[in-house]
Amino acid sequence: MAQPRPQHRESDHPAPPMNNGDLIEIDNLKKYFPIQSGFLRRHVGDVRAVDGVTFSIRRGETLGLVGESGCGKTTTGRLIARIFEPTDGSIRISTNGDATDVASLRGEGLHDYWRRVQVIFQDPYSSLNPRRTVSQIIAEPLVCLTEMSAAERRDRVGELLELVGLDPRHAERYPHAFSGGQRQRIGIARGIALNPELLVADEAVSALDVSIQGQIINLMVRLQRELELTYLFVSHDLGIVKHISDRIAVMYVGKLVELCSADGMFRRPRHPYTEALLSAVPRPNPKAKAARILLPGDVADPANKPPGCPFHPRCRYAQEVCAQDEPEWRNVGDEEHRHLVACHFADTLELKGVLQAETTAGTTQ
Amino acid sequence: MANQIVGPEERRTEHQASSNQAPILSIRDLHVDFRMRNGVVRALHGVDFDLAAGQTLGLVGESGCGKSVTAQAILRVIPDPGEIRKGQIIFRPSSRSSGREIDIAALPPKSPLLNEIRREHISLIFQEPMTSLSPVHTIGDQIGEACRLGRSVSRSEARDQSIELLRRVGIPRPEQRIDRYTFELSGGMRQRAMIAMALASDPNLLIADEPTTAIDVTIQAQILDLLEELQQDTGMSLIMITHDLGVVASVADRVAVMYRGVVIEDASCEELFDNPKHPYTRGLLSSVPDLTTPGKSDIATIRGTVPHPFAVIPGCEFHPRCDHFMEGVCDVRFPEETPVGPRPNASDHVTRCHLYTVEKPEEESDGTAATAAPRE
Repeated sequence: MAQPRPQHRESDHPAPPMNNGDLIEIDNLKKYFPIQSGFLRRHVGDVRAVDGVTFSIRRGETLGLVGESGCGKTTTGRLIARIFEPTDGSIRISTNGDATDVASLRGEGLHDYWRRVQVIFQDPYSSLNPRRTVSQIIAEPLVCLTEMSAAERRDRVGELLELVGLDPRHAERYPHAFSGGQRQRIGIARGIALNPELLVADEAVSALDVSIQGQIINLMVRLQRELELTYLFVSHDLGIVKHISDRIAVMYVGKLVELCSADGMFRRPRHPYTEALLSAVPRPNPKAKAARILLPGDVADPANKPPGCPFHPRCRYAQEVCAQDEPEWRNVGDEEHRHLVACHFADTLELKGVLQAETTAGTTQ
Repeated sequence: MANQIVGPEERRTEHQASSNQAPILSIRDLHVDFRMRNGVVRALHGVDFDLAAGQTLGLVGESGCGKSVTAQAILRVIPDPGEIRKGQIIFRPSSRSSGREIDIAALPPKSPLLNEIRREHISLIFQEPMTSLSPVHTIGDQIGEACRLGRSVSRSEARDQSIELLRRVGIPRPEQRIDRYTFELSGGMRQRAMIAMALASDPNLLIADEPTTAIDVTIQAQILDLLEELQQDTGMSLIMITHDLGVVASVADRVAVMYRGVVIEDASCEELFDNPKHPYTRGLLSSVPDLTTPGKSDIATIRGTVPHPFAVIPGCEFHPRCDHFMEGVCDVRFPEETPVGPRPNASDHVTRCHLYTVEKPEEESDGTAATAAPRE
């Protein structure tokens, strides 16, 4: 944040109205973490964790945000939850049809925003304070952001515990008395305590065993139906994301490379990175291993990005233009089924998805 | 010492043709207890499996099922206060049937033979390379040390061999990388360096404990391919410990599924995925989200959670969570290992479940179990 923040845009030109049905709109969002060096902590560069992403989250949907470690998906989630302040760009939330820019909100305005947007964290072990009881943990947002009385809070905590499938009689226990799955339920109860509109779930099930993962995912789906929640589901696990998401966005080194409906992406990805990512997920089917696409090399360094398309050094379809020009973020689908992608050759490449087609591929192997 | 230079195809047919060839590792009735101040954790109670030479065994299960303790027991590096209470770990370093057999479980903790096994025959790679590689030595020093111990070569030879090993595990410019420290390498490169170190002694058996869990999928695919390639080149046997059924399906020849310290099902990889028998295995398989079906859907789950390690469960360990629970049977008797494979009485697919042991009309008990997919 040593970088000077550009002036808030709203004053320059009036914000366009929000698309009907969108809850959150993100425009050219950036977050740079400065790299400092030496005794004087000179600013020698930036880790461009999020480097200009543009997308929107529709009311009531689950948007999956996937990518490998270091791609900026967690930072994006935290920017949207306004745990971080963006370096540049806008985050607008729809309020009764009007758009409020929250990118630079502070103080009371930010508190209002937090009542509407909450987070569930990855690690149920480190995100719950071991010295506070479950009821204290869940009541924390109620204490900070509402004016409820102690009795009201107690009732609400009991209600929440029941909602997430825990026994309200256990409210006075400490987190260590609960298993990983139960702790994640506590985290969810805290997340929904304020009746938020958007829940940012940051790797919410990644630390859990498979048999428990399913329980938590199903709980989240049920809560979404009952409470009309919108989810931004950040995860590296494509299988889980596929199951819970309506639309999926794929990130690579601070940029979005593709965003479309879950089935659309799994049936026919339009970006070579998505194709490789889908093919690399090990599937519980011994006959399916043939089709893995091996990407050479490592993920690019977000402090020192390759020019042009950040994926070009690992891309098997790369051509000269890919190393020079950054591809534009554009729609290759129709207006109704938007399929956004950042690849020069999205129109011409015939990429392979994993949906169903593999059952035939599997038998021939 | 390497029992190598047999092509993978050859190896496999050889194994199928002569199943009288002794497995490289046989674990029999292995019990490991952790005596804590406030109780005993029976980490393993009666683990049995065989690993055929040159093959890959996938050891799967959820956290706390004892898969890592099994690996630690094989190398006798179980952390305090864990100890092997009973059972055998028969290791046959040579593939010849006349070769010696060593019961690792019976060796005294400081025996020279145990050190020889650790040095030359069995290597272990861990989940998080950063915690098992030294941060204050270059990777060349660390691999070189393993070379000098495992192959008894001089310092300069060790350096050359280290460079060769790094090249073999796919690290670019190994001449330069050898003098780097671990923190200068990316996660995938560190895991490769770790594999290079494990290979330094030409082990007959490599145990990989969650080698790709901390790694991204595209890098994971690289590492899995590398392990497979190395195995084909060297003919070593591999135990792949993982919680990820996808990983198991893509590398294993045989799979042993563990639950609370017991191997509850053991079969060839294809048989296990095509025809799982134990309700836990089925539950586990159906709770893996499927990438290939369109649409959003609920994920199947296994109800409840793995009980606390101190809890002593009578009968079948899985019965409190099982949909096929039979009162008076499952909660009373510990299920025997039962052959359930396509060939009757063969041990190529075994499970521990009363659904297959109880004397009911044979076909029916099989039929109900097979059709009743694990619900919810």
